[in-house]
Amino acid sequence: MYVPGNNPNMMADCMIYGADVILFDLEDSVPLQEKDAARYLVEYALRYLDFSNTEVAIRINGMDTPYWEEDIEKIIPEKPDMIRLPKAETKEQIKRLDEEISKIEEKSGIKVGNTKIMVSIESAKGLKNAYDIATASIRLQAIAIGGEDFTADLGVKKTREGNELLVARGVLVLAAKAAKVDVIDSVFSDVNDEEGFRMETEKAKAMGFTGKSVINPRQIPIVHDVFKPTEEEIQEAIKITQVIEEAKKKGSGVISLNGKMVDKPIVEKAERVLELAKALGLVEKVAAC
Amino acid sequence: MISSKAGTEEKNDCIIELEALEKGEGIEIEIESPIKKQFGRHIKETILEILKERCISNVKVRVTDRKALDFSIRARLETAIDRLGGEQLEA
Repeated sequence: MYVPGNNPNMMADCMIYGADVILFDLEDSVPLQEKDAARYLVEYALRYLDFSNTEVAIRINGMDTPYWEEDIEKIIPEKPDMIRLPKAETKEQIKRLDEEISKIEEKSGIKVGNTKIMVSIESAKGLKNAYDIATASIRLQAIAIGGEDFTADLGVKKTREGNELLVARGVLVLAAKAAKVDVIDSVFSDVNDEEGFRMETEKAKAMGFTGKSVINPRQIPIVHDVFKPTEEEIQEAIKITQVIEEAKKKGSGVISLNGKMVDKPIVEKAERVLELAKALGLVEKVAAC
Repeated sequence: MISSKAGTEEKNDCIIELEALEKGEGIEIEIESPIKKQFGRHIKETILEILKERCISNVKVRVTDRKALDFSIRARLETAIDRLGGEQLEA
């Protein structure tokens, strides 16, 4: 969930709504004359607020601006989980960002590599380079699409149906899957249109996205509801992990469940389902049924 | 008069205004807050702590508090110090 980095009121309680990741923004939501203030607010928020198990990412300013270096200089020592780079266009940018983060980590006594990176692709050029970007650094965890900027770059209007972003979303998902990183869908700006938001989230899931950015706490339960595995999927995943364990004990090479062979992709899918179910607190509930 | 300002009047925020004083004039702190009775001393201690960290000993600080949390008071003061000239003040 995006939280403007210059709004202490929203920052103070943003962690109570159940978002998987809090994304403090130093970029678009912060006016130029308030960049200095937002850096301090985010720095002290990281130091003083308790985010419990919620991951914290910071969206820094783009590398085409004079602000991003000061952003990471102030923020990295406070150990955020992730830095989100907007407007990523080339693998060289990611390598440079990685190097600069490493220097600050080293200087601050933080284990080099501790800070992860996610990027957002907001231009046709960035999309063309998406796989190279996604594999440019070991820190890279996820790629996302910035729908508003992307459609502006294409010179088209962003619509409720989102057909103008269909190709871009598809290409991004392919790049992310090939690079084995998460892929996060763009925000849906009309917070009052819950039906439109659910429709877009369902589409994103069906296309292979692993999450969706939100701008309002009201959108969080819908994302969780759409992305949560079904009870049947969880039961199946539990059974698969059980037969794997049994087969390991027996030293059996070929594993089957209900007459069907359980191979590597099925195991990986089961593991993903269980990971997600655990994160949403669904595993114990289903296992007890 | 050299002065600076940071913050907003929004809920959970505060406005910090600084005015550079002459050497030897010391630190003056004025606090306006709906929770001054309960937290006025804490706000003052927080302000003094940051001023000490930044080696600033001659300044007037006016705090207009809207129930700001610690992180916000600290951030607003640091911003106001930078905007006032930061390092030059510290000397």
